[in-house]
Amino acid sequence: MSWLAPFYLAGLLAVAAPIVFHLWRRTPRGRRVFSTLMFLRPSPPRMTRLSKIEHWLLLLLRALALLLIALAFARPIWRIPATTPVAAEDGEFLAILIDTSASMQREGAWSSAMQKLRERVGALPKSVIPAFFSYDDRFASQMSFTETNELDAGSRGPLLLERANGLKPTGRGSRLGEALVRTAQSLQEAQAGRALPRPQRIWLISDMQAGSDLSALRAFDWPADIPVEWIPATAKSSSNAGLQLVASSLDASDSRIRLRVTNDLASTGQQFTLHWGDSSTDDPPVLTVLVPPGQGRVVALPNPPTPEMGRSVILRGDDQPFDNLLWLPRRTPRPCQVLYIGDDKADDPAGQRFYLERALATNPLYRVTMIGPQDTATAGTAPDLIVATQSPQEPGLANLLARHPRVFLSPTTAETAMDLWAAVAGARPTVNEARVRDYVLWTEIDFESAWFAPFAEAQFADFSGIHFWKHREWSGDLPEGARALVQFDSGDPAVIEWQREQRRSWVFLSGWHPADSQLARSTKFVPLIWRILEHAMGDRPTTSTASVGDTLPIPPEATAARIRKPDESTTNWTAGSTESLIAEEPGIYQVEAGTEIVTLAVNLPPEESRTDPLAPEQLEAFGVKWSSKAAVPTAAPVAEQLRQQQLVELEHQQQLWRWALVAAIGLLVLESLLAGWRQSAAMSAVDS
Amino acid sequence: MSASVPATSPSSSDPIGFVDPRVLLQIQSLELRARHVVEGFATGLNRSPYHGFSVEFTEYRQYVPGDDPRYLDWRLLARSDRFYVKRFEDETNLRCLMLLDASRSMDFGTVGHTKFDYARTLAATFGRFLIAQRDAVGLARFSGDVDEYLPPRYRAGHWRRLLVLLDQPCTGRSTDLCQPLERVAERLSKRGLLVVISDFLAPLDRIETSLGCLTARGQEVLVFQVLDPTEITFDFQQPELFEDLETGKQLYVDPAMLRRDYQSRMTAHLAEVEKICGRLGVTYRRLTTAEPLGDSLGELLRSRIRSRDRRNRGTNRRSG
Repeated sequence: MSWLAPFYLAGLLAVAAPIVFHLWRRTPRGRRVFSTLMFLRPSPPRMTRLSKIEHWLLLLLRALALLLIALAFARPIWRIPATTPVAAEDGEFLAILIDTSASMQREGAWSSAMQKLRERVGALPKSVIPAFFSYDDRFASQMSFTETNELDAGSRGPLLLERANGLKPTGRGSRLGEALVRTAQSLQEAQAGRALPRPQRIWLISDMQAGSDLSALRAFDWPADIPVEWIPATAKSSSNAGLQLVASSLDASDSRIRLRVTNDLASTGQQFTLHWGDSSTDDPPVLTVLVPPGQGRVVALPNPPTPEMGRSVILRGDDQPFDNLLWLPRRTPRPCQVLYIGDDKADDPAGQRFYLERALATNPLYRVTMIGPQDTATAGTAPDLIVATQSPQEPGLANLLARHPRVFLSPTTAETAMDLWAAVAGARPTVNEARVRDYVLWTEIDFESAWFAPFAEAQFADFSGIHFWKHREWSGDLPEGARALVQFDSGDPAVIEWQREQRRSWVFLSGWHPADSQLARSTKFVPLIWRILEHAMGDRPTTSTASVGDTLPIPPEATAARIRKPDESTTNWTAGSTESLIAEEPGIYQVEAGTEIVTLAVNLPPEESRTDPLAPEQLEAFGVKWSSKAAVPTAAPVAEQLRQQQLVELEHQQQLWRWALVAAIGLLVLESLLAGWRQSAAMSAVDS
Repeated sequence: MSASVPATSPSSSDPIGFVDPRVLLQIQSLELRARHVVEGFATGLNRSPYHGFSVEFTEYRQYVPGDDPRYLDWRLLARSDRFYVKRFEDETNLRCLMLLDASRSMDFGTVGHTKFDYARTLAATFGRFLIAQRDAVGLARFSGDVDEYLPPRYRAGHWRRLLVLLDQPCTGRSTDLCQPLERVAERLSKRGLLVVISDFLAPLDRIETSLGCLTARGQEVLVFQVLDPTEITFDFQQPELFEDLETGKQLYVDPAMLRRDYQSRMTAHLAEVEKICGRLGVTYRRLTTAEPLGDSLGELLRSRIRSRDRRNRGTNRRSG
């Protein structure tokens, strides 16, 4: 018999209590009124001692119940494990996690990390089983527990240091949360299959900068038995300022690039200058910015004197240069040709073209050229999109309509609608001019469609302010492959999308010009037309900036591409190849897919500029257990710990305490019944 | 006008006044009780020591049939042909006010009657005795303050009112000796006799000042401290929960453990009361409810007469 909590056996002394209470009893029970208590003082109740115990059975039951309760609390175990299964060489699982994110490029940070790693690994006892992991925005296993287990104890440390020497800080972000979760999972995998778990620990060698991503810890229940010890990698200076791109102004006419200059809380300087990338140190600064520590300022760069100079911008006045160079995106709108078939003039505000042309001209991604039917012969290439408001007179145009992959129809009359549809789809539908009392509105908008998806947010989804007072009414069912993207509140389709093979056509059954509706003069018109154009052009990637570690955008229909890296080296990519399309270093990348060239400015992730140290309490809030003990526990305490764990398991299996408690409750019930019976017997004797 | 009192044994003259108080207090009528006691001890006193004392004319009253013709003013009759009777001061030769403690602590008794029963019998006896001598008698019942006040009078029906007031049960919660004494001192304008009947089971902080205030105004003060025998001996046997009659406060007490302590504190308290009375020249008499009433009263009155005689003799010698 053994005990899991033997100190509770002291509760056995409580058995003396009923014996004492049986031997002693309090006699006085009377009450007396007296003239005054002014000459009296309280005296403790006098107990009179009985020379013998009167109720042996009751005493026995009470003493036994107390005895069993005390034994239950002491958690009895029938037998002890015969031997301690832990041999002296069974040591600790130690996972070493090192930070290789961009912020480790700060002066002194990486060398500090490596020096501490070498010192710690050199002092490790041979019984410890180490594994080595690194992280930036990816988690990488440099030396797993499986690999370490196969090595002899003497070669683990040197191999680990050799792997560490092959590492260096990258330009990527820092996903500390994910790295900790993956490391903890590696430890759990290493423990899997073991009858008795070994002690385990994580060494985190990092600068723990405030820009680290901890979100993965939210969904992870941190194991209580994995302590983390933070080994700080300290940079020589804690001062840092950073540069990052900000979204361009909503005003399309303002083409200036906007930057945010941030300054860390621990920074010493607050005055910085911005210089063009190719300028020498003697050149006057482009801008001077005053940013107090802990704050940020958004500035707009003037247009560069030469395009080459405008490739990058440098921040000067900062102690840490790793994040002071920012590559700037180049905005080169793609050319795009739109064929407009209609008899209205470009400068006629009563027609549809007037509005369409102005809306398309402001699109920042495409440089739209609108041509008329007469220009098709002179235009070198086929138009990218056809917009038709009148039925084409020339047979050539009708042919073009019949085979063009992207046709957008906005007929102004029912007759035109039938003609245009017949030209595009081959079959002539029945379309009538609708009779509208006052006006109709758009309802049942399909916000999952490509056209209306950008309007899906509640603040943009309200189209009820746009009145339509004339529209065409589609009679009968829609043809196969067609669906209504929007309906009028009369129930008639307002916008029909029709798809057959690679061809797509859209029909507006009410025009946007003032004769038909308010659409052209509403705030929704320009974004809708932009969206129609971008969708018609195949939803090409619009981004021109990326961070290190991002995947380079490839046009969706491209099957092969050539990637030119910042160091002028090139890589060829073909669809289905496993070639990495990740931007690994900052600079200008060019992706050439066919005739299309996408230029990307790749910079360090902006979070890496936030180098203020992260408070360890923030990780504690996610349940991470910090360990302050630097020393690895020696074998003897480990053995004792494991023996204790084994006892706990045995006790959990046997659960003798439950039986002891049940027996105690039974005895107490019996005692109550017996005492009640005795009392009633005594009362009846008195009555009689 | 003073009279000497023979030192006869009261017990041999009239046994009624010296009956066991338990028997006496079983008599329901307070008046009857008082009369029994008075007859007991008064017969031992040969005649009233105050009779004919300071006879002075005060007023005329029309003669009514039944009046003693000795008191007719013959000169006035001769002058005016009217029948007038002279009234004399001897009807009011002594003004006595009795102060009766009616606090709840007086409602305690272990000998078959309470201290209050004993005290009001004492007051009635004293009142009866004085009225028999045509003295003015008043009564003030007090607890925390003066609860009821009947000024000293000698007139028809006054004795009845006095008895009605004495018959009321004690209801006061607390005992405060000082305030009633001060209030009474404010009301008394003439000199007289003040009889205080109480158990004096209250703090004695200001009692000396209050009593001194009365003696300084020329009042003659008589103090009867009435106690139950167990209040002195505290001879309870069983440990019990003792409850204060006045405050309701409860205290667990083991008498065997506390008896000696109690007795010493009680003795000190009684000695303090006696000492205060001695300092102020106040006649003090402690009575236990087991003692016969007539015995106590007779002895007290005789001692007062003796002391008066001594004073008078001293005065005569100085004047001679």
